[in-house]
Amino acid sequence: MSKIPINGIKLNGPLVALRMDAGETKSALPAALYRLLTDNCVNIAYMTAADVMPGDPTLCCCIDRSDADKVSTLIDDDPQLRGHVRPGADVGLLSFYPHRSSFKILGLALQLFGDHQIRVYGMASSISALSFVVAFEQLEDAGTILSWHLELPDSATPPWAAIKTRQQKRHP
Amino acid sequence: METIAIYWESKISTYGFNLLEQLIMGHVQVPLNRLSSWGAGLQEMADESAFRLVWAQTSQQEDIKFFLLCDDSQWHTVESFFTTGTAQADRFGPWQRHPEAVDLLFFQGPHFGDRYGIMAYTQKALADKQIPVLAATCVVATINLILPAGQGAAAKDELTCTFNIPMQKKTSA
Repeated sequence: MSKIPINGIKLNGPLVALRMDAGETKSALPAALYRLLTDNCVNIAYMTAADVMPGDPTLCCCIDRSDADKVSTLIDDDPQLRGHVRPGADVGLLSFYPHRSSFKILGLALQLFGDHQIRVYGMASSISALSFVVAFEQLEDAGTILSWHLELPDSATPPWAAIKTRQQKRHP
Repeated sequence: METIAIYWESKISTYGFNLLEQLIMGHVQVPLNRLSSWGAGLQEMADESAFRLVWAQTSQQEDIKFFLLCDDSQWHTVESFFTTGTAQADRFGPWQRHPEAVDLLFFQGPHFGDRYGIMAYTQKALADKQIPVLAATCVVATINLILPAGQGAAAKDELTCTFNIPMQKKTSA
């Protein structure tokens, strides 16, 4: 079987996955979390949230691991969020592009991760990329496995970003 | 080498908004230990069965819940495939279809994946106008908002006012 051509694979991490079970209170909680992260200059590297499935975690949000302790403390101090948001495992983000809106390429990635026992915590499509949240210790392996079965161009850039961005508020 | 850059904008800039209306949203729950079979099943679908948006997240029960947004015609293909489909595919499901149609509004901006505050800014703008958000994803530099059908245009109008769209400003000058 011929390999499916793609243009690149990108890796990002380490991150920490925050999981929220909004329960009865529902939509007010994601807004409270967004505000808490914004007030403390914490970027959301990845997020999926749905208000359509009561009983399960309604939000999965990945932040940089260097922010995790600070955010955990802030959540514990927040009466609205305390008990509803749980810091989870160390994860990484694997993105490859383009996905061409194809179930075939999505299915191939899921099959490969399943076959190789790559722990998947979530996934989402963007305009051109498919991104998977996987266990951080398996992130490099997940990228390698994909590269065996997808065709990367010779000009593909390295999977890890060359530039690390850190943000802080400007002090007067 | 470290480079320090100061970036300030009174309104967050975006490259513009894209709206897809009257889409079908469905979800299906798959045991994590059957991810491989699920992936194999998806590959059996015809290439033209394209999605508009997919996302998934694990639950506390060692399941992973997949959400799909697609056009009405695509939904029938997907649903019938997983209802009457092959040995790989028919072990999963059933797909739960959201009872109402939805609109998908998506946008991206400069370094949205690296900058804090974009989602809070978006959420507040919509909440101030009492526009409900059924689901949302932030992936790479794209924000996707899933809204009740008929609310997408109002959300787009509101966010067009809230965000700065440089190209639009240049054109109208």
